[in-house]
Amino acid sequence: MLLHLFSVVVALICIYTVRHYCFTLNRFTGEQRHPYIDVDSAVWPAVTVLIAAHNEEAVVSDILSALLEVDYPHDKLSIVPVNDRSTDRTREIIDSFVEKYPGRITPFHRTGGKPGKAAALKEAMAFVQTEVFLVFDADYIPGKALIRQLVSPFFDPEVGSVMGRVVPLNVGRKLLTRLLDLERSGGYQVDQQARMNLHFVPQYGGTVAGIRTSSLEEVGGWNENTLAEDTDLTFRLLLAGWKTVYENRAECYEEVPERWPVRVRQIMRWAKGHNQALTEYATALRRRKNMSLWERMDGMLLLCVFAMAPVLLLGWVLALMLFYLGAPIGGGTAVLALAAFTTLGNFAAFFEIAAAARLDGSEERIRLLPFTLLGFSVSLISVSRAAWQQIIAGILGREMVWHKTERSRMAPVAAGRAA
Amino acid sequence: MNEVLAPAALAALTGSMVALPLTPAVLEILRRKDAGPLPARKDDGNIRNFARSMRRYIAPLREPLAVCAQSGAIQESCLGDGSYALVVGQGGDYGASDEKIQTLILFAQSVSLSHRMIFLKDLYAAGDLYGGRQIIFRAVLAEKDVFLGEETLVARWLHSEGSVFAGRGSTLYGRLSAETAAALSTGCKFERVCAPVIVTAANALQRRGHQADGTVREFHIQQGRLGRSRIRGDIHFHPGEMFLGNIIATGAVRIDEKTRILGSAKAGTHIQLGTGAEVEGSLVSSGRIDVGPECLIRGPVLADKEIVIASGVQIGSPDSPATVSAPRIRISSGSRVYGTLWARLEGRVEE
Repeated sequence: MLLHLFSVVVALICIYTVRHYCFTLNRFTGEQRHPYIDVDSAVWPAVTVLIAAHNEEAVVSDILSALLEVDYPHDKLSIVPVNDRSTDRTREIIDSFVEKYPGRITPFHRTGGKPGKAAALKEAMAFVQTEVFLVFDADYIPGKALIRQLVSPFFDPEVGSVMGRVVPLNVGRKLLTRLLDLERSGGYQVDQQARMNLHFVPQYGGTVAGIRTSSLEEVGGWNENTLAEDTDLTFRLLLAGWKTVYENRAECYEEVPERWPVRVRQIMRWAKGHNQALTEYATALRRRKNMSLWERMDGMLLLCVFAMAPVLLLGWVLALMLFYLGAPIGGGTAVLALAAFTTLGNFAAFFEIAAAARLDGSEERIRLLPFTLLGFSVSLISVSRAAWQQIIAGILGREMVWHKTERSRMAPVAAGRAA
Repeated sequence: MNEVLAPAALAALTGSMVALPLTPAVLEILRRKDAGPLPARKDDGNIRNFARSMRRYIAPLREPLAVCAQSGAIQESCLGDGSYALVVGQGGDYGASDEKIQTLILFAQSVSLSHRMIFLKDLYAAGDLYGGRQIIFRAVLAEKDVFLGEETLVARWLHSEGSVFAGRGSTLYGRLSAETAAALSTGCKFERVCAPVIVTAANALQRRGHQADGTVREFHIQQGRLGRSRIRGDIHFHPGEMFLGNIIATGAVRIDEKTRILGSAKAGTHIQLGTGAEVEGSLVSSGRIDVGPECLIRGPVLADKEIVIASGVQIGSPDSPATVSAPRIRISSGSRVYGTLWARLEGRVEE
């Protein structure tokens, strides 16, 4: 029985390995899809931009300044900072902008209610009177063309949500930020774009993102009971027949965690939220007939992606046990080792990162590739720990707690800053 | 001795073998050669940005340009970066056939260029610009109208504050923009064209002053939120039918003649519009879009592979600009697009 379980684990890891190879090869040799990026002349729809802000005094002025300068008709752009129970100077900073730019910014100061971004966004929907709205986290700095790039896919009546590319800003601060920069590159430049090319399931990421209001209403609005409202929404839209589009050229700077404990908390929250979506939507996705087989398969693999870390650990435990029990595992361990090497951690495999670095035209940062093993190992342990906590919380009936990612920015930066 | 040295040597060798692959990584951490954020797009993507940039570049020559325009003289001037520019004050005919101009050239008045000239640097025209046949331009900024003779080639970009008329067989690489209108003759190849109105004609050079002729057809825009219908497979709208809402098909969408779609249409494979069909919203296809004669489309037309537009088609309107975008676009003469034509690989005007 252990041997069979071991075989299943190896097979699962191998599936993800093949998936990563396919995505990487697609980015180098396949047809690249950017069907909406060229929409230049249009009757642009009215748009509301929601900025999720919880104790964001270090960063909120940067995003407000940047949004006031974007290239989008001012009479069609409504900026709504969602000040979610902040206890620092966030409210004061937002109000100073409201005073300075009358009629451009409509603040929503939330003083109570359920914690968490999804809960805050749910209440902020009362401010959304437009057919399309965009969501940014307060640490993001949109470029001038970003709003148009994120809105243009909504001319496609099948599109329910849009995701842009997140580019780390504080790359050079620490080894961790440099590793996260590589990991983000692999995840967006290769993973997300390949899924876009192949008509699979690009993921709505919750920020630098747009949503069609009617599609959100159709799927029942925000789910405030999830730790990853982005993954949750991706799958509810998918099941309702709406597409999520990835715009690789709609780039926006963000701040990545600079301390390992912050990173660990962040990835554990993602893992728990993702696993929540797995338990809620896997069955529905398997049964859904109104989408292609490839879409269903990719959606299922995407749902299971954070469950693979504990599976991989289980694989190693089984390999050791079987070895000492003298079971005939043959080349199974070697296959597991090879597959694990390409699937480890946050599942942006090393060759995906290398491919992304090449596609981004960066030359020296690729040398850090061996150190990604460190980041992946931390992810592997953290994600497995998150899964374990989730199982325990499920048994004991505990509610999961939402942790905000800590910001490190000390001073405002110039909007649209480049390298 | 060997009992001490041998294990130490083995440990050192093993350590160095482990450390060797990490050496470039450690060096990069120490030297931080590539530790900045990846460059994200800063500009607004406006088609006129090259023209604006050139206008800033030649701003110091505004005074010599005015002096030469008064005197009719030809003067060589130096720019801020040390490069030279030729300021031509006289209007009328300029240059000899097959002449090669190696410097940036600025014309202070309307000018008519000889056949087969080659401009290796950018060209600025304060007045109208009339080009002979088979001229090669690098880039052009004109304050008034531009007339490109047959088989002209523009290598990078062209911007006119007035209208642009491109003669037959011209090749317009890069960006072409005009503040009033762009008229393209049959045989023209293009990439990105943007103007309030873009017309295609058998011979655009004969259309001077008539570029915006023809009846502009108006749309009866539906107010309020539209519902959507999703179809697995193909869908066929028969002649004269009317559909209110957005239609999405995983297969092909066929809209027959005189059919009206009061919404947008999306196809997984192919969209085909019959003669005189009308679409109030956008058309999006993962494959190809065929727009039949006399069709009227209000919103963007986007295809993953190719768009073919027959004659007499109107896309967008003066109040509702639209974009037509695909890797390949073939558009027949006698059609008009209000806004942008963007062929990522090649666009062509056909008979």
